[in-house]
Amino acid sequence: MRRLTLVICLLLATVTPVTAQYPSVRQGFWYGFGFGVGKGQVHCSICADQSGTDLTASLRAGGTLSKSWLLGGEFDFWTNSQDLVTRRSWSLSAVGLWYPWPAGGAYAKGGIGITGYHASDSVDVITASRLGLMLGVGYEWRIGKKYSLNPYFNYLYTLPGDLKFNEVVIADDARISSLQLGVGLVIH
Amino acid sequence: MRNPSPQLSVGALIFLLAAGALLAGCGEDTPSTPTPPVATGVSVAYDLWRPGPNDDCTAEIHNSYSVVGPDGKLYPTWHPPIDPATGCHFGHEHGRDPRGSNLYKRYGPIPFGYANEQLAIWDPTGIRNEDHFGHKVEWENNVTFNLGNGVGGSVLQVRCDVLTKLHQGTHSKDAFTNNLHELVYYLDCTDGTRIGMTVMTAIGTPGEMVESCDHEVHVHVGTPTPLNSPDGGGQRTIPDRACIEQFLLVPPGQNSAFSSALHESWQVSASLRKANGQFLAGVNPYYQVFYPSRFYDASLPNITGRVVDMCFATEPNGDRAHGWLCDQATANGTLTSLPFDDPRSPFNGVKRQVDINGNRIANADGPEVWYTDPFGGNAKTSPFPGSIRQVLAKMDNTESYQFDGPTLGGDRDYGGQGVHAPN
Repeated sequence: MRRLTLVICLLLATVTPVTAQYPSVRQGFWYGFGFGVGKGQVHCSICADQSGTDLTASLRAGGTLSKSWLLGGEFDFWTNSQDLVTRRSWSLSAVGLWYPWPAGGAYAKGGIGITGYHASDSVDVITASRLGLMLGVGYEWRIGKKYSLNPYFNYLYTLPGDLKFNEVVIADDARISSLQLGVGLVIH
Repeated sequence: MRNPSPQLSVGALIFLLAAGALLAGCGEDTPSTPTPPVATGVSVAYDLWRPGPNDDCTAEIHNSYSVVGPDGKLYPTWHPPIDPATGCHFGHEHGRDPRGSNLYKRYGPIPFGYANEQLAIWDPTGIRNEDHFGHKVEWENNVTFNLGNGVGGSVLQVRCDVLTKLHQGTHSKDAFTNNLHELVYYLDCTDGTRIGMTVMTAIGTPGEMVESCDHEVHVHVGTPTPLNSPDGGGQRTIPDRACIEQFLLVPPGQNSAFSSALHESWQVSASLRKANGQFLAGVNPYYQVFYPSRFYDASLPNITGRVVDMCFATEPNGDRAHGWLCDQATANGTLTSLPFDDPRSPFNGVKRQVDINGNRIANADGPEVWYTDPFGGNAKTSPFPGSIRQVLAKMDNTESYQFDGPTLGGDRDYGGQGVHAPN
């Protein structure tokens, strides 16, 4: 959580804070990025993934369909190192954002895409990549004419598939999950 | 309402039975092991045991603990040290009751001496029979295996059922020279690893043993039985007189290091292979015994020293055994001697453990059932004279993660209940 606090402070410091006098207007191309904390894990019949909570990053961009709907693409990344093992998970998803109150900043997000998992020490590598679904919620808090501060929560979960150890399939029921809690900046 | 025609039902029944029988005959060999209900003869291993002066069970009661082997012959199998029906004592034990093992449901009772019996068929010039006492069973259900300190151990967890039996006699001179011992090794894991192996495994070099307190010292003892025993991987480390003098007989004021002096480690390296030598599966469990009743002593006529005698011995320089085990053996100094087979002797080989270690399979193309010669070689897909049925998962884990088993049985004590050497 210390990292999350640091990220929030940095974002607040780099963007001139202004009050919410700017209405939530969504139009045209938009893009954004964010940082936070999260956790990726692989699950299967022989898995007992002891991953830890660590840094996540997120990038997304897209276009506006309506006052209530945005479509875009999103890349999420998480990494964790502990003891001898480094883990990474990533996902590349097509996402849709729905704003139930068009004048407000709250949104729900759904997406579908590819999620990958990679864990390695100095010798061996465990990998998996599967089609996965993303669900998320967030809030865009207008802090400038074009800027929104965006706290968000994402959850990714994949369909079952192969888990490989040094390219040898060792399980066929592996799912990847990822939790992300972060704060971003969205530019409209 | 009209009843179905009885004649039609009988006809249908006959048809179904015939079709079922035909299908059963065409079905491929599966890993389940049907046990013939009626014995067609007796094995060499059957009816070997006779009660000693400290035992009050009869041979008939002992023989009632038997099982029909895959060859239809009657074999001895596991029994408790005390017969629950009569309360009589057998005076020896075979380790943990296998009926609690998950693998017992699949493989059934273990016929002691089945591989020895098949060896006599496979090679009539190389017969190897073993006594009854040495069959020792160990098992554990759902144990976590060690996948190393790296990514394997950090991300994965494999749990296995293990059931194993080795003939590991630690009371006689047999193992000083003989490296062929019957091994049964069953393993079933959550990652799909499955091994059902029964072999005569060659442990180390025939005719020699390795000194347990200095593994660099290989002691050539004599000629093995059979004379054509093959050389095997691994080794049998057994205490000899040097270990006794170094760790047991100590100067006044010192305590004997019983575990250093009296520790046998039989380090197995067993495999199943095709006739061309192609590797199918391999295991390397280590079977450890603490405080056996014997040690190798070349100066004795029968080359077999008795550990309990050392509790009453004093070397010319004044060295002698001191410590808790000899306190037990001498009843705190109140005895002047104790026969090696007295139930009061703590040197009876009941303290054991098995290090399961590695398990490798290279059988990606199958089948799941192989038939090998008693040494695990010449694997074929159909039985042949002297062959033993082996079960292997259809998989290849030779390039996969480190996969070592834990130690089993170290917290168990099979003593008491009238158990004594020979055991």
